[in-house]
Parts: sequence; structure tokens; C-alpha cells
Amino acid sequence: MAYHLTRQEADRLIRLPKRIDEPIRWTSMPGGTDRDTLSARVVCRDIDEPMDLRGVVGRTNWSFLLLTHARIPIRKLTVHGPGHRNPDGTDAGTHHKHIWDEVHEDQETYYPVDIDFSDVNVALIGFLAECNIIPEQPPERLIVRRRLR
Amino acid sequence: MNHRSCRSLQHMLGEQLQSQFPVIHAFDQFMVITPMLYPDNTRIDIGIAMRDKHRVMLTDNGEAWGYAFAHGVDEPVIRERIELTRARFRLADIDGGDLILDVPTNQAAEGLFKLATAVQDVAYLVYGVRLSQTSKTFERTVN
Repeated sequence: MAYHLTRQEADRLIRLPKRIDEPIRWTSMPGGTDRDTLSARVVCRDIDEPMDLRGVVGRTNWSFLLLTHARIPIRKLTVHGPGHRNPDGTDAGTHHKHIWDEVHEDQETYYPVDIDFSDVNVALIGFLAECNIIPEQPPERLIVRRRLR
Repeated sequence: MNHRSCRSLQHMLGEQLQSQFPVIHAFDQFMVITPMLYPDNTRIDIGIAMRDKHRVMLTDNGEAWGYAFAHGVDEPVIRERIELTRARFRLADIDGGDLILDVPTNQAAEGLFKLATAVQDVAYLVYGVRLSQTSKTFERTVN
């Protein structure tokens, strides 16, 4: 596989102190679809290539991801109605966090106890903290007029 | 295998397949949870609504678009793929990123598979973007 990254390396990248020097802003998708997205460059003194924070709040589901420069999702917090099945067959439920490993890639999940799922804005701040990302400014607050899971 | 055991097998498979497609009522629409998967093992769900007595509308609620974007695919690339997927699967040509299929009620099950396959067609962009980024990094390292 061309994008080989071990779990150990992914976890190391998560632990490294990182920062976002640009405003974290939400963008509404044009075309009448209830969808908001964010994308911000994540920099780290210890690695050459920048990483990417991405977020999508869809009609009912939402997720935040930290991607390496090679677009490997080393952490992903997601709420998805249909739920998720881990590679070993266990049911991960609708609210879960994906980890990266070299065998199952981003298919393995667990239920995070450190995330407040009741508010998507609070969850984003929790996700940034877990990924050791310090934003220069607090993320723009997303006002969600629809009901999310 | 005789005719009777063939019917019995068909019945058993029918029951098992039925259990793989739970339907829930959520957010003002019926959602069919399919056993088909996104690359990260998340099940693909399809919204379904009766348009009239003879036709149903199936939609991915824009989830394929959102999945690709969240995994680092840039918007122009997603837009291009969405257009291609719509043409390839004969989906509705609409604004925005939703994948929508309008079918006669007696073709709803076939439409469900077709739309879930269309969702995968868009979501699999994530593999391409990972490979292309890795290749760029490799080129820079070598040069």
C-alpha cells in the first residue's frame, strides 16, 4: 500500500503539539443543501508537511477529521445515524471516534467519553484538544437551525 | 440440488437479506440502512419518500459529498465526480451535492442498490486522493 502509516506513527502525530494560525470558519454549501463545512491548515514545528482539519455538519450527521498531508484520517469524530460496525463485528453505535491503524485503516472505532456530543461546537473544541491543536482564535460558532443527532 | 431445497435456500436468504435492511423513521423521512459500506465501514443509509402512488424518491441526503469532503477531497474534484456519477447512474440532475434517484415504486429495491453503489462511486474518491498526495510527497523527496 502506497500510504503506509502505522498506528504508532499516527498516535505520535496526534500527540505532537500543533496549531492553527488561520480563522476556523464555517461555509454553507450552496444549492439549498443543509450542509456546513470547515477546512483549516494545521501546522506543526516537528513535521514538514501541514495537516488538515476538516469538518462537515450535514443534514443529520456530522464529523470532524484530522488528516495528514497524504490525506490519511488519523483521527475522526463522527455521529452517523446508521451506526458503524468495527472490523471484529462489534457494533460501535452512532457516536464514535475512528482511529487509524495499518491493518484496518480508519475502520476501527471506540466510544469516546471525553467528548460532549450534545453541542457540535463544544464537540469541535473537544476534538481540537484531543488532537493537541491550539487554534489562534476560537472556532467560529456554528448556528444549526436543524435538529442533529 | 433439487427444486425444493432451492426454494428453501431462497427463502432463507430472503429472510437474512431482509434483516440487513432495517428501516427507521428519522428526521421527517424513512431511512433505509443498507449493508453496503463507506470505505471506513460506516453503513450507507438512503432516505426514501413517496412522491405519489406510483413513484418514490431515493436520496443520500448529500452524505457522499460530505464524506468525500471530510476526507480531504477538494470541492472541484467532488463536483466533477458527482456530475459523472449522476450521468453514469442516471440520477436526477439537480443543484447541490445530493444524489437523488426517482423511480417507479416497483423498482424501489433496485433503485436502492443503484443509489448505494452511486454513493460508493463518490466516496471511493478518498482512495485516489490518498495515493495522489503520497505520490507528490514521494516526488518531492526524490527530487
